[in-house]
This record gives sequence, structure tokens and C-alpha cells, in this order.
Amino acid sequence: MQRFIFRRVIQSLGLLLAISFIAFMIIHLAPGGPETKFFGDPRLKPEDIKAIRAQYGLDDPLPIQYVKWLSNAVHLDFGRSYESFYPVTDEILKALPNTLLLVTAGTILGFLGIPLGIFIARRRGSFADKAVRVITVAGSAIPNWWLALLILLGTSNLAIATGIKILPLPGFNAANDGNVGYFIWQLVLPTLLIAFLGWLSYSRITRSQVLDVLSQDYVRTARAKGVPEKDINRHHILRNALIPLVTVFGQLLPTLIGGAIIFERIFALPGIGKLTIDSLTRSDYPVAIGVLMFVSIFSVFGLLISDILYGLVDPRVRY
Amino acid sequence: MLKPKNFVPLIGAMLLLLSTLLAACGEAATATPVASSAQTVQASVTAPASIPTAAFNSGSPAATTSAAATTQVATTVAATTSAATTAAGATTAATTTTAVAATTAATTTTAAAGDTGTPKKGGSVTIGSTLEAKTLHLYNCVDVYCSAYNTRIFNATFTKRDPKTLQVVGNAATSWTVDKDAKTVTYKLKDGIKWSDGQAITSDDYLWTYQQAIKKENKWPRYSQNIADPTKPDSNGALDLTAPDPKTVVVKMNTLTFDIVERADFINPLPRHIWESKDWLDPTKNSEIDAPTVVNGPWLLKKWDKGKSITFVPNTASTIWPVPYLDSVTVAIVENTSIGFQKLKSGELDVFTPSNQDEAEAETLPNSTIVKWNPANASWGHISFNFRRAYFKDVKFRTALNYVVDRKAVIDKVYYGLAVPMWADVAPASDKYDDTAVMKYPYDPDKAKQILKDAGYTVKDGKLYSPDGTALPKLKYAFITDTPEGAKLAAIAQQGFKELGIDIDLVGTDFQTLLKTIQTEPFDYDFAALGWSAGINPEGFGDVWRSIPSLNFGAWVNDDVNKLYTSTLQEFDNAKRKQIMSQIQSIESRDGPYIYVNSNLAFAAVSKKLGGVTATPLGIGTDSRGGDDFLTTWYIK
Repeated sequence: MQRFIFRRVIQSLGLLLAISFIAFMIIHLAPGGPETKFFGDPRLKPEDIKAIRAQYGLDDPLPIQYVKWLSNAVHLDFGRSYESFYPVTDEILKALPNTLLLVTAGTILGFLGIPLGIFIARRRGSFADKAVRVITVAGSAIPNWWLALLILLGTSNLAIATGIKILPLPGFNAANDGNVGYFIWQLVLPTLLIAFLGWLSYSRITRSQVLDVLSQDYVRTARAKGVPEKDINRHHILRNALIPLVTVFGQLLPTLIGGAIIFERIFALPGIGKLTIDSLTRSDYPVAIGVLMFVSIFSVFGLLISDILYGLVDPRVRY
Repeated sequence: MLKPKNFVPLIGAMLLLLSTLLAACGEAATATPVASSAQTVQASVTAPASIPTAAFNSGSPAATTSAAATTQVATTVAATTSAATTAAGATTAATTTTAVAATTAATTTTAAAGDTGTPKKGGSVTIGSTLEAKTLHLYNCVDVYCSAYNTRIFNATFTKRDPKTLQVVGNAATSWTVDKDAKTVTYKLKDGIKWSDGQAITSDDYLWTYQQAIKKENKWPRYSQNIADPTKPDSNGALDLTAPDPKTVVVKMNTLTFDIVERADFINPLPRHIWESKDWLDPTKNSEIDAPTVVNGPWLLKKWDKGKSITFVPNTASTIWPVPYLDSVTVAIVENTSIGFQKLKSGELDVFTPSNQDEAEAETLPNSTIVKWNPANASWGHISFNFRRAYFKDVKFRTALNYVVDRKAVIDKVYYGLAVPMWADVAPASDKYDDTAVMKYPYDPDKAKQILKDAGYTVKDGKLYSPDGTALPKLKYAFITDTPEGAKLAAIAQQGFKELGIDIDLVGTDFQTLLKTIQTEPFDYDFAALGWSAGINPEGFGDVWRSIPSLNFGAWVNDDVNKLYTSTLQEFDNAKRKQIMSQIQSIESRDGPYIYVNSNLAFAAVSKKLGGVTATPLGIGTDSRGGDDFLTTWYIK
């Protein structure tokens, strides 16, 4: 196991190095740059543009820029934001609580998809099973950002027309500035929408896994032995059905971070997602690469953890 | 058996605990006193220019608002030095012209919030903004977002624009003189001007700020735009700034142009006594950068919750600007105009600019009024030609194309009536605009076809053939997809060009990609739809035509226009400059470097509880332009 973990860590570091190179090149080779924000000024001359690029250290050849960046990055110095002059790590750490809040709450609620999957698997073919399957298929087809906007505008119009306030509008509200309860109320919708992603994945996979396990001989044997149904569920069905879910969980982490980008935009939460979009649209290269590396580390780490968890939940798996 | 309900209490408790803990970790910059407010106007295709323009010269008290008063002061200053005598003469003429034009623009195209009440102190206002600043550092601020905040906190430039007359009037300076031979401007500071902590603002603050800003290691992004390269005679910018006594600042410029007074006015001072011992650049070592405590503008920063909101309270010790009536102004960040509009309707926001599409509905809201104005620095849109293509070299071909772009349809369907047609580099809101000089192109496909026919073009099987018998290829029309307007304009243009037998491929990309396409080899496009944000005076636009391909993407060259633009920069008489600008507009509208399409109007929905909101050519004070003297006139009725 230790050898396996060591090997996977080394592989992960190699993967991160490759990601950093590709990300650095893509971001720098993409059209535009920090100088484009000056382009509205007709007095800007080509030599001014060169001078501005030099200010940002962008006049070196790209490979040299990458080597400089990498040598600093290994010391956890990802540079400073062109816009705010804060260290990139500070920018990420400032944005992280909002994203963690959104993603963690949504992820935890998303686990409700597991019992839901078991529930409908045990009632295969019933109305509940069919209804949940229709909802999961439809839910996968509807863009969640669109659903978010629709619900927001719908509830807002309802509140304006009738005074019935089901959900608050996102962002600053002078009357509730500093009100933690109001803030949590504002988080209900984005949290539920992120959880919805989990419900869709977990319920479908759990359902198919449980159905698979239900037909196994050892389940029949357990029943024949008179093992209580509760124990069969817990020890025989759930544990075996969880194995592929561990993989899904590992893959879901980066997806959730990606999903947070959209939700942070819609729900005015200045987290990692908003930082990513702002840094890319404003050509704030150090922040853009820093955030990308952070999310990459997070994702690679998620996959590593899911590999390790495999061994823990499935005694047959040994490395 | 496991049931979903078994999970609910546990998850609920965890969620609550986690939310509370993480919410408490949220970062918010809080300063002891406080500083200014702002909201930015709708995003334009390009970032707005901060082009110094305006009439040449002379001082006036900050409170001066009328042309007559400015003229009087100009004469006083003229008596001071011989060099200024010429300048004052120019100013007198300029004052009258500009003031009249600006006032006309404001009164004919705007509607004030309609209050006649007496201002009273107190109350709070929330302004919605879709744009957000990343820093409050005056010398790392490069866009409209931070400018909008900074101009309310730090605002002690020597001069400013009067929001109603657009005249250059004194701000921190009481007077100024220009030595044309030495290319220097000497500013005299007003008596008794102070920082918010009571310390006097002296020329030393300007000198120290200048010395810090120009240090290479301090990485001032606007260095090359403000500081001249002395080895290049045509390099605009300053050569030196000196402070011979506590009340005097002398700025030496490299070039002499009519707007030297404003070009030399590029240092907005920081309080030396506060900043000197701190790091200039690093906000982790200098808390004054993002939470300034000592300022000189009308507002103080109370709290900046980055990405969410920023709140300002009055600087009660303000000496340059009037003390605001309101107790506080908060700018709340909204992520898109749809949410912002809902917040306006629900009363969460007091001031907001919805999308043009929602403007008609906003007019019907019971709790707000729509205020419109014709901005002195309007953003305007165009379709440029790639003159590297042989077919665009024929002026008749370009003229025909001009006749088939239906500007009325663009204004009605793309901008929902919130724009006016455009015919040359000068926006109709400018006092330099000459309606009699420009050639106009009402939508007329028949006339366009006749022009082409007379020029020898033919149409076979619905395709246009040039006079030499070659069929016109399918043309590439590049536009940006960042805003919905680009695609709508493209569709209208495509329909018009089709009338002439011209097929176009619509190529929509993001702004950066479009820039790369039109600025670099192989210049693979035929048309490019873009926009500019005009300066208050349009004389500086000549630099665009001289910068191929960085700004003059299409490589249009007209020596007459280039010469006229050069001469207008050297002309200190406003009336003569206006004549030159008329000639430029005449040539441009006929020669057609662009299909000039539209110049945008501006508007905002303002709560009816607010008084003192007046539309001016510089706006209503919600951005960095200075309308309503940065919200100092606003009050709760």
C-alpha cells in the first residue's frame, strides 16, 4: 500500500508538472494580454504597449517565462496579481471560504442521492422509481445555471407581485448587511442546485449497483440465513454498492469546483470560480495560472484519495 | 433499512455549522474612517479612454459653473504672464462655445430626476454595479472599475471638468499659467486645502507622489502614457515635475498641444505623511492601499467587502469638494443586469442601469425614474474595412456599403432606441460635431445599387462582380460575442450587404481573439465591428489613424486627415479647432474609413426618494466622470 501511494504521488507530481506547462502556454498564447485593457485609449502607441508588457515581465521568451514561474512556484510563490498586487496564494485563500462553503454544503447534501438510489432500487418498476428516473434524466438535460436563473427570477417576480418571499436575491442587501441568517437563506438555492448534481449522479449509480448486488448469491444466502433486512442493507448491499461511488466521488470534486464557477457568478459569491473568470477575462495571468494549478492539485488529490479509499472499502483490492 | 430521513438531521446540523464557520472566515477590508463611491456605466466594447482634451487653459474657482465666470477668471490669469495672454484669449472663445454646446446637449437629451426640494443631510443609497474593482491603489488602477471608486476618495488633481459646462476649471489649483516656449504649466494650489486628517495638502505631496510613481520598480502601468521619452520629440508626456514652493507645482512637458493643461495634470497626490513610511506597491505591507484612512475626496471608505460591496461615508473634513448630504453610499456588485433589475424593482437598489432591453419596462416602475443623458464621452460603434483588400480601396464601393447598413434598424432593434446615428470620428454629443459637414447615409439600397452600377459593378445570379469582371469573394465579417449587440448588428449588416449581392461569413469571437485577428498577420478578415469610447474633445483621435495596425486595424491612410489632426492639436483657438474638425468629419464621412454606425446614449434608473440627481454630459456621478460632483449633490427627499 505504501509503495502504491508513493508511486501514485510521484505520478501525480508528474501530472501536475505537465498541467502547469500546458496551462502556462495556453494562457500566454491565447489572444490578448494585460495590455488590452488600455486599448480604448487612442493615444496608446505600439511602443507603449511594449512598455506595458515589459512592466508585467512579458517581454521574455515564453519558455524562459515558464522556467522563472516554475522555479518560484516550487517555493509556493505563484507571483502577484497584476490587478491587486496581492500574492496569488492570498487571492486564492481569500476566495476559498466562499467556494468551500458552497461546494461542501452542496456535496454533503448531494450524498442524499445514495439513499435515494437504494430506495428506488428496492422499489424497482414502482411509480417512485419511474418518477425519480424521469427527474434524473430531465435534470441532467437542463443546464443548471439556466435553472438557477429561472428560479431566481421566478421567485423574485413572485415576491415583487405578491410580497411572498420564498428565496432572497443574491448579493448585497443593505437591510440585511451582516445578517448571518439572511446569508444562509441566500445560500439555500445554490446549495440545493449543487446538491442536485450529486443526487443525479449518486442516485443513478447507486440504483444500478444495488440492483446488481441484489441479484448476487450472497444476498440471497443472507436472506435464507434469516439475516435481518436492515443488516443485509448495511453490510451486504450498501458496502458493495459503494465501491464505484468512490470513483464517482473522486471525479465529482473537480466537477463541483467547475460547477461553482457558474453558481458563484449567478449568486454573487466571490469564490474560486469568480476569481478564475475575472483573472481570465482581465488577463491577470499569475492569478489565472495559480487558480488553475490550485484546482488541478485539488482534483489530482481527489483522485489519489479515491484510489486509496478503494482499498479501504473493498478488502479484495490490494496494491 | 437506511432511509433518507435518517440523514437529514445530521446533514442539516453539519450544513448550519459549516456555513456559520465559513461565513465568519469571509474577508472584508474595513478601515477606520471611510472613502468614496461609484458605479460604472455599461461596459463598452473597449475600455474607455482617459484622454485629456478640452480647451487650452486658465484657472477658475472650483465653484465656477458658468461660462461667464470662467471667462472672467481667464482674463485675470491672462494679466499674470504674457504667455498666458494668448491662452486666455483662446479660452474665452472656447468657454463660450463649449459651454453652450454642452448645455444644449444636456438639456435636450436628458431628464433630471425632477426634484426641486431643499437638500437635507442624512440617508443612505445603494447603487448597483456589474463591475468590480480589484484595487484602490491610485497608481495601479487601470480600468473604469477602480477609477470609479478612487475618484471619490482621492480627487485633488489640479483641474477638473465642470460637469454641466464641460469647462476646465480649477480643482485643487486656483490658477495656472502656461509657458509655451518652455512647454511648462505652473499650477498654484488653493489656500487651505487639507487631507481628511487636517494636514495641509502641499506641493510636496504632488512631488513625492510623482517621484514614487515614476520609479521603474513601482511598475506604474500608465507610466509610458504619462511620462515622455526625452529622446523622441513627438513623445507625449511629462519630462519633469518640480515644487518650487509649497503652493506651486511646475510640470514640464515634452510636447506642446492645446490640451497641455490637462495632459500635465496627471498626478493625483497621495498623503506623503501617511504613505512615506509604507510600501508603495504591496497591499500586504501597506494597509492604506486597499483601506485608505487619509484622503482628499468628498468621500471616505467605510468598508470594502471585495466582490460584494463597497461603502462610503462623507469626508466631513473635505476642503476641495463639498461635503456630501448623504450619510452613506454603497455600491453593491450584481453579477448580471437581470438580477440587478430585479433588485431595482424590489427596492434593494436605489440606482441601477438595466440593459437597454429592460429600459422601457424600467420607465414604468412606480418607485424609480429614468434619467437619460447624451454623454460627452459617448461610446460609439463602427464597422471597419480591411484596406489591405483591393476591393475596399474603391470609395464608391464603400459608399454603397454605407447606404445599405440600416442605422435606424440598428438603433431601434439593437440599442432599443438608446443611440443616435454616427457619421465620422466625432460623436454628435461633442461640441466639435458639425452636422452640416458630415455626409449622411440613410438606408437606401436602390441608391447603393445605382452607385455600384455607375461605377461599373454588375450583379449576375445574385453575386456582385467588380468592374474588371471578377466576382467578389465571400467576405469575412468579424464581430465580438461578448455582448449581444455584436451579433444583432452583424445580422442587420449581412442583410444589407446581401441586397448588393455581397455574401458575408459572420465570424463571432471573444474580444481578445478579434483583436488578434485584426492586429496581426495575415489580417484574415474583411469587416470588423468594434467600438470606441470617445474623449470629451475628439482631437486626440488622430493618433488612432497613425497607429497601424495596433489601433488603425484596417490600415486606412489619408494624409489630409493626418495633417489636419496634427494641426488641430497645435491650434489653441477653439473656434479654429472646430473648423479643422469640421474638415476632418467632411473627409471621413465621404472617404469612409469605417461604416460609422451609432453613438450610444446613457441612462440610469433612479429611486424617486432621491433628490439632487441631475443628468449632465458627464453623467450623474455614478462613474468616474464626475457628474453631480461625485454624488455630493444627492440627498434623500
